[in-house]
Amino acid sequence: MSDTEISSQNIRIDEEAILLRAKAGNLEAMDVLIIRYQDRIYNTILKICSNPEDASELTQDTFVKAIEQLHNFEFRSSFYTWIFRIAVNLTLNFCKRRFRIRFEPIEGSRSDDAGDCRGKLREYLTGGQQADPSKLVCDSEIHNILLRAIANLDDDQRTAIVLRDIEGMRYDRIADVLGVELGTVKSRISRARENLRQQLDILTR
Amino acid sequence: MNENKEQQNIDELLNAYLDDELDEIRQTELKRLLQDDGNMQARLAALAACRGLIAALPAEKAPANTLEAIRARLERKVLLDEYSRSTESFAGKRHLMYRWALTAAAIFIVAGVLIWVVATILAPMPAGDSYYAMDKQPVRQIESLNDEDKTADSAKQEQAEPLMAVKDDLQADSAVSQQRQNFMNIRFVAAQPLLADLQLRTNAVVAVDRFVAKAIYLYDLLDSTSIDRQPERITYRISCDRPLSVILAGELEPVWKKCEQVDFSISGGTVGRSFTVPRAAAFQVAELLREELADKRQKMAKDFAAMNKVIADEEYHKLAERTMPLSPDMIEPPKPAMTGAAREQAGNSKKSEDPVTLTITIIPH
Repeated sequence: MSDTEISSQNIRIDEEAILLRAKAGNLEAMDVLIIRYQDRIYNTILKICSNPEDASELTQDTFVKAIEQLHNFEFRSSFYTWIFRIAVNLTLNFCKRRFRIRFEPIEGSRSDDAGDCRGKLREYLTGGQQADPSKLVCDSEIHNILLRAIANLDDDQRTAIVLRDIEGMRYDRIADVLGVELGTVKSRISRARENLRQQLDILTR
Repeated sequence: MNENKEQQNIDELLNAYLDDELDEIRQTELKRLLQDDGNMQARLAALAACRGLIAALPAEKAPANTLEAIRARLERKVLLDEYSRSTESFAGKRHLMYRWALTAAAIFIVAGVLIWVVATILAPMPAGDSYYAMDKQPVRQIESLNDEDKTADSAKQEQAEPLMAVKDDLQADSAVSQQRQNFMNIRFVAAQPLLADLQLRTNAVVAVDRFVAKAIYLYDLLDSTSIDRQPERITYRISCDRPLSVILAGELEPVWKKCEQVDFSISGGTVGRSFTVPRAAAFQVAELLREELADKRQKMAKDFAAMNKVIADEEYHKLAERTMPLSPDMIEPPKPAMTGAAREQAGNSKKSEDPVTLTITIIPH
């Protein structure tokens, strides 16, 4: 079985034991950590920086830095929080260096009637249609509208909303990852959703 | 202004409610407020719709080569960071330039001496000394090790026999010529570095590679090592002297545990013929590198090869288990002893003149 075939679901070894082995320089343990977190880290970074190539590079940067700094990891927070903190910091530094986000629209079968998709989305947002959101986002047009709306948020709000709604973190963990107060997380998420709603309103017109 | 602030507070409350971040008391209060306030209900529905859409975005998987790319970057960092750390200071750079200048000067001197030696050998001889041109062929044939080589060499020897006869006659005629020939053979030996080739076949390429790189760095051999990284193999070519090569082989002993097979080839020293020891143990590599005499080295290589063949033979194990209770410790080769004195010797050994070119090849198994 190749390394990439090993899914994180198949790895059931206690994380602390793996971390201790990785800290001692065990390469297989490091591989386990990479396999376990690479998809979640990549997905989060991709949603923050909006470009697959940049996300791939930043994911590699994250793990290289984490492994280099592993000897400093003292189990004060969970490894999950620690590695996400590294990923988010690297990604935000990268976003600050860049003038604006290079939004990369996903490729897919473009609907014959893009206006129809926008209409569906508008109806869903105004509560006129009780559609399943997971079915709506299958349409590449709607998918791209959503990614563009997220990309248009400012860095702090985008990061907060990605960690909450895409990665599914609790507020206190987001505060740990971002190194901010709980109240700041609440207000960032609240403003991010309001701004997203406004963005989507503009983009679906 | 106050209205905005109030709206923000309500939004934060509604969002926290959506995300299940409110304590029980606040949750109950908010539910009660929502029952009576249609605007607030609409607001909550809009936020929930927005939240639902973002959460429904499909999760993207990391590219398939992420793990390999991270490993490769870590490998590069191990080598480059450590190398740059050792040379980044100004003093370090000055020292390096000084060493380059010394190396260039040494190359010029050696090249000059070699040109003189070659010119002396190839210069037209007086008629009585013309046999010197042919005396290297028999020396090569003496170094044949196994039967296969002997067969091939015996054919060559048959062709060379007339020349040998002439040479023997001339040698018998002149004792002075004999001395001169011995001198030439000695010179020929001194010019040849000992060539050793260690092949590590492993499933843990990254681990083995990092260990080898670390050992090279620890013994300050980066300057005299060339590295060739190919997808199918990684080759380190290390130029050092014999004592340091022995120490390095000892230092690499833990790598054996990560290897499926280790083969070792070593040259005879005089004519460049090499002898291979399949499934070589670490101590065998160290002992072969330690041996200075070519004939003893080739005998040792033969013995090790034969011994390893027997150890690898399943029939031997079955027989041994039947006839005597054989402890696994008896089959395991002993670990090479690394004394403090040996390490010290390694530090000083760069000055001695007994060159070895040790090639370490890491091959994915």
